[in-house]
Amino acid sequence: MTAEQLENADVVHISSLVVHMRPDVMADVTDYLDQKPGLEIQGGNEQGKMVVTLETLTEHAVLDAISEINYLPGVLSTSLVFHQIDDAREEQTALTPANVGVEAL
Amino acid sequence: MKVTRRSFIKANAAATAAAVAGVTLPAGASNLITASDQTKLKWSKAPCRFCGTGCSVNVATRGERVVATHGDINSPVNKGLNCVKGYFLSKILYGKDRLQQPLLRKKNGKYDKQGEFTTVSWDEAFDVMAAQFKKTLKEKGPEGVGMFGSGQWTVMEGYAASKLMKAGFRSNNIEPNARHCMASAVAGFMRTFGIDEPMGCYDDMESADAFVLWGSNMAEMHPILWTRVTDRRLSAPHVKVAVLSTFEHRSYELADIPMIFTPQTDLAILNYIANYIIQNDKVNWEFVDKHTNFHMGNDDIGYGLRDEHPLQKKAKNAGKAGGSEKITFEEYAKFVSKYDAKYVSKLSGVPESQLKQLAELYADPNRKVTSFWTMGFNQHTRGVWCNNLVYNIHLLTGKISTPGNSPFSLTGQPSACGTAREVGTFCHRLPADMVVANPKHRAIAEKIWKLPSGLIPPKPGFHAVQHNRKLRDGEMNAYWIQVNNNLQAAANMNEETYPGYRNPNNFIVVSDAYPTVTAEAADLILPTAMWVEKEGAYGNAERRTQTWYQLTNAPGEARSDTWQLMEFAKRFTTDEVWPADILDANPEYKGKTLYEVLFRNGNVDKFPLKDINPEYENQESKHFGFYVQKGLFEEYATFGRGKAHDLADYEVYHQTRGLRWPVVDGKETLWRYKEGSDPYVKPGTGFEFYGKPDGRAIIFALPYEPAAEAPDKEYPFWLSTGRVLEHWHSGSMTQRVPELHKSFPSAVCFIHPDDALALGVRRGDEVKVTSRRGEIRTRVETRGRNKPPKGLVYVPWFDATQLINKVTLDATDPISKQTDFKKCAVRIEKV
Amino acid sequence: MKTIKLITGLFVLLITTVVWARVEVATLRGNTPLNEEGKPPMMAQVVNDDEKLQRAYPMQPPIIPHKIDGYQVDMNTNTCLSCHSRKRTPESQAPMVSVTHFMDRDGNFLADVSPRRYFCQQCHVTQDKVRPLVENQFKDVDLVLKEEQAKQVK
Repeated sequence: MTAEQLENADVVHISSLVVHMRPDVMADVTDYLDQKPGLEIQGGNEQGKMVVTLETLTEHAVLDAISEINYLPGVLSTSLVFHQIDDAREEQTALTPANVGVEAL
Repeated sequence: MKVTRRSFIKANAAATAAAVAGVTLPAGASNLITASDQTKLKWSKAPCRFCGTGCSVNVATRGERVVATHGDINSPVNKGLNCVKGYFLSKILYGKDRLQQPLLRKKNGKYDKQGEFTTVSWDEAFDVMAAQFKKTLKEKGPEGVGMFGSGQWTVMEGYAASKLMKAGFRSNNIEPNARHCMASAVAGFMRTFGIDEPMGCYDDMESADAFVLWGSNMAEMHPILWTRVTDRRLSAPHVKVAVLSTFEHRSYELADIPMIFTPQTDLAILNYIANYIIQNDKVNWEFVDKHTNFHMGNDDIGYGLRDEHPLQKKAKNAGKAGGSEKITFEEYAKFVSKYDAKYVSKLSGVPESQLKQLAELYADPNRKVTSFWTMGFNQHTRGVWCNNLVYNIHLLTGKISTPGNSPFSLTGQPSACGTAREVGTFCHRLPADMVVANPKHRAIAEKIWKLPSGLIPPKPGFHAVQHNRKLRDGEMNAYWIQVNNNLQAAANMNEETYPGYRNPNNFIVVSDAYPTVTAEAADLILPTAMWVEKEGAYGNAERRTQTWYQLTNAPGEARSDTWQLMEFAKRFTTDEVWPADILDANPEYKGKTLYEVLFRNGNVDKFPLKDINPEYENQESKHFGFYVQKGLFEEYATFGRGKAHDLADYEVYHQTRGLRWPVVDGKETLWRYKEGSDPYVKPGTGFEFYGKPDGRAIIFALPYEPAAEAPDKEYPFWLSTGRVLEHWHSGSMTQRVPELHKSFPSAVCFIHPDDALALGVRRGDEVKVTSRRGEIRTRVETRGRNKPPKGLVYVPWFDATQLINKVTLDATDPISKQTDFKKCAVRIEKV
Repeated sequence: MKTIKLITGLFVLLITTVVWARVEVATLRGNTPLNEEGKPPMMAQVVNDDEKLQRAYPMQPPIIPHKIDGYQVDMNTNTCLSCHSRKRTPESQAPMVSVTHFMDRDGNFLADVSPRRYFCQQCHVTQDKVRPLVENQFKDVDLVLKEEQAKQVK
């Protein structure tokens, strides 16, 4: 799967994972995950928790990614928190915070 | 910011996972992050950096950065509101061109007046500066050095500066730019009441039945106070608002009685009202008999121009402008009797019916009246008279010192009251309303400062306008400007300020956060910490003292004014600057630096570093090894305690949103001079104006006299200058905030459409505004917020590309020495 | 160029053999000398695209993204509220004035906009199509947090 394929696909699975690892391997895991297309590290903390998001073409790919991460040295667990299928054929309008009701003061 | 659907879902996904995991996400990852430590900001209080209203703001910091500000809901002044400037306070610190290193004019590696600005170390900067000050002190004595500060100095900064100049260098040539701003109000208070600053407070606004704006455009210049007036007017239909000015502006949007008068005729209108009160038997005799005296003031007092000016030579009382003699009520009544409706209406252009409506507001015994004024009165060659005359009206009717009855002088700068006035950074003043000319006052100051007696010179120094004249004439040669932009602010730049600063004999030092035009005209520029980059205190227009902590660090090598003053003091020993006889009589002071005798005197250095709130940085204190701000504040507070200027303990101000002095037994004072609300009033008196020896305020007989310069054939227009809502003063802070700059990017010449038509110009056309002294090029504005009558134009002064003070006249009030920026004659020509 | 320009390094070194930094103090006047007056810029147009701009922080009053020429706001009428008041937003589709505007000085909610908030332009301003005179380096809190995070993760 390439970035182009993702961009052009009508249906994309968007998911987020919480990865729990030993704090000392965070740098290594970061380097490894940075290479993976469709995966973005969103943040982490010093206790070894990391939040990543996945964009994949299939649901199967999500499960693959979870097992792959689970096998990395130092990773204690990986859990799926959020999963949504984005079907571009359903909705063509770009969303803004305003028209989804996130109006500040 | 537009977010695509997919990235929006992704952000949602990330936020959900982050919440589950308890992970802090960078905020950019999601717009939906809700509370938790990841978005936690540190909120601290501070007074606003701009005008004299003294709003309190909450400042958010994250790490080193100020990231947000908003109106403090706990502040009684603004209750959560800010004006547009206040809402953008966070950004004033971050203009890209913040000065970060001292800059000295150099040629071939040496200081040279004609040299180019070159970065230097603080050491080199102070070495050169000290050499220049020492040279001048040697050649000209203390009168050859001077300092020009500001009502934007913190209380501590102004106090340290005053001490360094008056006691250290023994020079009274220190002035705040409040001389351009509040001096007429000060002199008005001293003349009528014998003690400075308003008797009332902002709480008057919620009680008044009528508001009268005398040449004050509160809607733009004091927007938050205007919200309180608006609130009162629209909530209580019986309330009336009268607005007087020489041109129509935004405050007229709320006016029940809108009046436009010919410049200078406010004097006649004020006397008309007094006459109306007397003629209609509305004098409050009980009050007048017990609490007032009548005086006839000297007239024909000149216009504060250079002595050789024909107008000065012609004036009968130019040398004794402030003089007056006691008279009877009958003599006073006779004096004002000529100011009848017909005469005053003709003179002022205000219809008789409106004059009567206005007078009736004051005369009606059942109506509580609050009068407001700022620069319309104060920047006036008869500004002190205007102040005296409006007090007359409130005194004749007894409408004073009670809730809603309030003659209230508004201020322009955040600490015009707190620093310029209360600390006494004027050339004639000492703290707590004391003056250098009074030997007892000098002795008190010397004792509190633990300095030898005879040290403070008795002769008042040069006032602000004289500074520029003395610099131009080469009589003052070493000059230090802090926290203001006087080249842009002072009148008659072409003939006085600019030649003064660039006079080859003079060494001009400017301490500022940004490269202003004043900095450009200087020889040494010192980069300066601003606002919350240091701990400080301000005092607002209602006598409210407020403090703040240092919330962030200044960029680069920028240092606070206090740091600069105290470090500079280390460069001088007493032997170099004090006379031998004083040192011989007090040998223990010999060989000490000014820093040691002024700031290591056991008072200023009394409080150890451990007294500092550990949650906040305090760079100056750490540098000097003691709690500098507290030491300066507490020594200063000694002056006023027990003398009707009582301040609370320093720490109290960090816990509150400020307190209004006098603070006695922990209680602030809302209305002075009234028994029951002012602890200094003797029981049984009802009211006591204790600033005067007999406890009586003075009602002054003062006439209408014409302006220093009026339109004629050659220069047919009146020029008035002033501010706009979006910019503060010379724009050095607000013009660096993109949103504020874009809201009012350039100065314009507001002119009546008929005048524009007659000149053959249309909105947006380029014109020259020319006076006898200089010209600017600007563009015509026939629409918008200001609507001048025919024959008058208005040009704001914030724009450094259009220096309108090249055009203005440096005529001053002969009593207060404050410049009239509101009246001179100009011609307008199409370019 | 409105910022301080540092002309430093080799050039100066070669000529004088002394290293110092000559700087131009560039004020908001640009290059016009203090004793001269330059041509004033043309009057700019007001941004009128109705596009919302991101606020510098949540409490910032939003700027007005449209012209307000001739809007009457006085004791008789408030043209701004004719679109932005709660009652009118269904027709106008304009953003409703913030809920904070319904609070009086003491924080009580009123039935309508509080009189203290009546004069809109004390806080809300239009923007002219002009460039900032000087870059402002204020950092959005999102950026500050991101930088913090980057430091932590690495």
